[in-house]
Amino acid sequence: MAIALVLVVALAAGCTGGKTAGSSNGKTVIKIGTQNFTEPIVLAHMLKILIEQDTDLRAETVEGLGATTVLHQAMLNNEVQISAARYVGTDLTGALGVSDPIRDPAQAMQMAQKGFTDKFQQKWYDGYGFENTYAFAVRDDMAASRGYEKVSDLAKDAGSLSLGVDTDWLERPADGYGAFTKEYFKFGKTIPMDIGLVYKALADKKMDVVLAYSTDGRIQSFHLKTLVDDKHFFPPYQASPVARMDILQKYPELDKTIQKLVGKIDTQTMTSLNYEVDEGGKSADEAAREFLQKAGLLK
Amino acid sequence: MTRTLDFIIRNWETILQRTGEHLSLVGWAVGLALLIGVPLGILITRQKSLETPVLTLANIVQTVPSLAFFGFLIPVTGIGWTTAVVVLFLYSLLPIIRNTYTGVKGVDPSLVEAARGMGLTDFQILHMVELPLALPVIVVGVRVSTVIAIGTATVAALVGGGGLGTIILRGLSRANDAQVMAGAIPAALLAIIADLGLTWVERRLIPAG
Repeated sequence: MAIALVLVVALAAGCTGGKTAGSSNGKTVIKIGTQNFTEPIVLAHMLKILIEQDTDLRAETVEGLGATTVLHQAMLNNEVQISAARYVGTDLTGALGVSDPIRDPAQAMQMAQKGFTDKFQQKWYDGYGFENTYAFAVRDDMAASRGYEKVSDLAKDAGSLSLGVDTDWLERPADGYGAFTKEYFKFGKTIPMDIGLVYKALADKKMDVVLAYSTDGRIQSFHLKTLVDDKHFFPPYQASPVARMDILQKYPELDKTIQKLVGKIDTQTMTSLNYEVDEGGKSADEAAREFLQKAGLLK
Repeated sequence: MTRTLDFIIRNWETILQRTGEHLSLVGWAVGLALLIGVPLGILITRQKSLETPVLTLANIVQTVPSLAFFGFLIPVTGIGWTTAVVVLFLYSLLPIIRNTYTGVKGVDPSLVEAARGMGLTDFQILHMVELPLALPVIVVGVRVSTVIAIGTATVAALVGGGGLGTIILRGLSRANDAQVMAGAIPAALLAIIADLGLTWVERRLIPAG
C-alpha cells in the first residue's frame, strides 16, 4: 500500500513535466538544433522567427547540444531538421573526416557543400557572411610587455605558458592540439573547460593564453588581444545553416526562408549580437528579433 | 545573491518549466527503476545463482560516467528526453535492487517459518510478511536513487534532454553566475525535499514493535 503511494507520487511528479511536443495542432514542427554557445543559439532564433512568420510551419529550437558531433547525430536521426550554424573547418575534419583540410576558403566551402550533399543528403548553404575561427588570445598588457603579435611569438615562452581551451580542441584530429604541436610548439600546460569560462579566467590571470572563438564579444570587453595565425594552421571556419534535403523538398518555402539570411551577417554584426546576449543580458530571442528588424526582414 | 534573485524573478516561468522537466526525468527514471528493480531484487533472494551476476552488473552500470553513457546511447536512442531517462533509469537501478535484496533477506527467518507453518503460500508470505518488513530498507534505496537522479539529471541538458541543467550550462557558457545559481539552487532544493520527504516516509513505514 505504501509502495503504491510512493510510486504514484513519483509518477505523478513525472507526468506533470512531460516531454517537449513533437507536433502541435497537427502543424509540422521544424526543429532547429544548436551547439552549446550563444552564436548558434541566436541564429537559431532568427531562423525560428522567420520560418514562423513566412511559412505555415512551426519551428522550435533544440538548444545547447553538447558538441557538434551530437548535433550531427541528431540531424542524421532526423531529430532536428536544421542546424542553425555549422562551421566549414569543423565539419571538414569532423563529419567529413578530411585529414588535411584545405586552407583556401572558397575551395573549403565547396568541399563542405559537396560532401554534405553526397554523403548526408543535407544542404550546406552559402555562408551567413562571417567566420568564427579559433584565435589565440592573451591579455593586452601581456601582449604589449612581451611583444606578442603572432602565434609564433609565443614559442620562446611556450614551456611556461598555460593554455585554456574548450573541451573539443585538444582531441580534434586535423585542426586540434596534436596537429598544432607539429606546426608550432607545445604549451607548458593545457586546461580544457567550457569555452564560456576561459575569458574570465584569462582576465583574472588564472591562465596565460586562451584559444578564443573570434566572434566572441568578450575578447574586446575583457581587453584581450588576438594573435595572428602566421603559419596558417587553422582552416577557414565560415558559418552556414545546414538543412536536411528531404524537408526542403517537402517544403520549398522553407528553403526560400533560410536563404534570406545567407550573406546578411558580417563578423562585426555577429560579434555584437553575441556580446549583447553574453554580457548585455539580452535573451537570444530579443537579439534575433532586433537584428531582423534592422535588416528589414521582419514584417 | 541579489543578482541571482533578480534573475530568478525575471525568468521564473522558464525556471518553473525546467523544474517540471527535471521532475519528469527523475520521476520516470526512478518509477521505472522501482518497477523493474524491486522484482529483480526479490528474484535474486530466491535464486542464489543470480545474486552475484545481477548485483555486479548493476554495480558496473553505476560506475560508468554519465557523459560516457549519453555518448554510447545517442546513436541508438537519439537525443532528448528518452535517452536521458534511459541513462537515469540505469543509474537508479542499483540502490533499489540492492536494498530490496537486503531488505527481504534481512527479514527474520523464524517469521517466515512461522508464516509457512500457518499455511501461507509463497506469494502470501512475500506480500504479507517479507515486503512490509523490507519496505523501510527499500524506501532508503528509493531515496538514494532519487537524490542521485536529481543531481545526474543536470547533465541531460547536454543531449537536449531539458531540465535544470539547461539553465546551469547556459549560465556557464555565458559566464553568468546568477544564471548558474538560478539553475543550481532549485536542483539542490529538489534534492533536499526529496531526501527529507522520503526520510519521513521511511519513518512512517517502520512497523510498530
